[in-house]
Amino acid sequence: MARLETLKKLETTLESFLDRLIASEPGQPDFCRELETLGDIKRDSLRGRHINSRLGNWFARNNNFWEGSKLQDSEIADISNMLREIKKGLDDSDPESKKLSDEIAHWHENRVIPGRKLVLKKKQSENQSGISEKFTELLNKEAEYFSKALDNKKHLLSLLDDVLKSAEAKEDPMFIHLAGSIIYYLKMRGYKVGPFVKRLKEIEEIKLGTSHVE
Amino acid sequence: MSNETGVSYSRAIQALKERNYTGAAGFLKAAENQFADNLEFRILSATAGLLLAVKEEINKLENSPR
Repeated sequence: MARLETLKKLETTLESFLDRLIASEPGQPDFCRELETLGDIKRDSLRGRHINSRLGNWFARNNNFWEGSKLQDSEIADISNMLREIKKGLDDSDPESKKLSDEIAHWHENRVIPGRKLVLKKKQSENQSGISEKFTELLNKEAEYFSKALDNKKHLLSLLDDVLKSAEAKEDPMFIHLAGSIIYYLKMRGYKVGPFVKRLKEIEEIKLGTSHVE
Repeated sequence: MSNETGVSYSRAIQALKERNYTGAAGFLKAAENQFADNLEFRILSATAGLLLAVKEEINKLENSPR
């Protein structure tokens, strides 16, 4: 009985000690949660989903987040990259999106997050070997996007619909190329792709000013 | 700190706040490589481990035939 009582006293002491230790923890875990949330917002943005209210809330929560925080360069770079990706998907003609886009720019201006380094390069002729590397880069980027999009195990037709929505909403021509690639694959497998081809043609005409889809 | 490790640490703290010590032990384990040199983390992890062992022993004693 004495042993049990001793153990129970030890249990209470340890619980109390842990409670006090946790209470003195700095804000780091909150930051990790916020980093995770921003990652979710970025993923949904890449899938063409509406993220404005969540992003707005994220900014509201983290407005003074940086004061006194001890973030490492890699963590700041993570946030910077995610916000940059999210900004690409924001449509500045929509007032709400424009406000969010301005907020991201504001963070860059105030050095909360670093701006992209300006690298000046001589434009290469596409006849040079660079075109092959660019194509490889595009395929890798598409593969990376696609592996993330496959997380929720959607059918390829649903993924194609997401890609077309992203192609409509974003400036990145990768989505147009990826949509074309998926459509061609589905066509080879015997799927009826007429409506998707029509949608892609319309998007291509709006975004690129011409259509290459036949 | 990688994002994944940071998230494990964050979840461990949350679990400890909720007094979910078994869950916390799992998350602390996932974060331990990154925090091997962090004294505060090691104290936290060791205390949580000791508390779990104490609880297990109490459980055994309370359920053992008298």
